[in-house]
Amino acid sequence: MRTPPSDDLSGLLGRLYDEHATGLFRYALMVLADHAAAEDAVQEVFAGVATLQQVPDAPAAYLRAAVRNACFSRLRRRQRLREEEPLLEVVDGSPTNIAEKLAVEAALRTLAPEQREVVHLHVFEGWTLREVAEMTETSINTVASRYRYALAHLRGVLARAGEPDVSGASTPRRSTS
Amino acid sequence: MTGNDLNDVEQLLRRYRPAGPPDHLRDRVLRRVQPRLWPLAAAAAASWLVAGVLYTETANLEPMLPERPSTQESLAQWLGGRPEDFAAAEQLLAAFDEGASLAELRHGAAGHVDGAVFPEANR
Repeated sequence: MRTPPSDDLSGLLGRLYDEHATGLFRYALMVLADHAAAEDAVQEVFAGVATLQQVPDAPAAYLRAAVRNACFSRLRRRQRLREEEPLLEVVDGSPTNIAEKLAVEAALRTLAPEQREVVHLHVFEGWTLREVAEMTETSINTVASRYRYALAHLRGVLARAGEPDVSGASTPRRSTS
Repeated sequence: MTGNDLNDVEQLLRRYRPAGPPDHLRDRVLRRVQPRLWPLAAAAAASWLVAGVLYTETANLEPMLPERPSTQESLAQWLGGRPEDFAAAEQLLAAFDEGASLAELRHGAAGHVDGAVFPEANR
């Protein structure tokens, strides 16, 4: 940890936001599946950073852990998901298929937050399952099974929704994680 | 279910990424954070300013005590002359004497200070 000059705190927060907020928001959105809650979680984390006496040595890891805590804390209080807001955006260059996008979003919403978290960190952020296990302080076996069951569940939901890319899906096993 | 069975789902997911933050979030975050910082700085600055002004304004002031009424009875008459006014006059004179004693201690001398009359000098 290092102490920031107090007159530079505002600028420091702006820089931290610009460097990390997009990834943090996406992470929060995938865990919470709720735009407003994801915004609140990110805001809460940066408000917390403003009260720190020292800047964390590894701000990315610190912020990710703080967002994770904020998200799961919110999940414990939350009653139900808001389902009208988009979870995903199309990656540049990919074909746009609104029906498919809606189906994938709906399928993601049926996952447990812990499963969405693993899918997000592994598929969307590109971390290995071992790195995800370290980040989330979970065993590699648990992370691997969460991921496997999450994809199997998604495959089943999407097949039932008639998505052609997964229409050959076999019946998914029930998630145990 | 094999890993190959899941590749199609993974490929499908990779066409997407989670939605990014709305444009207003940056302003919302930083605006929310700023008020937590600025009130502290503003309060500290205001306190420093007030302390400085008060110090400057009071540094050259001498204590200004009103002239002490000569007797309890005259004060009680001035207050209205009722029985309760005598009790009030007694308390007022006691308070006056206490304040004058404090002023005397502060300045290290009894007697007149800029027109003020101390009890001992006028009793």
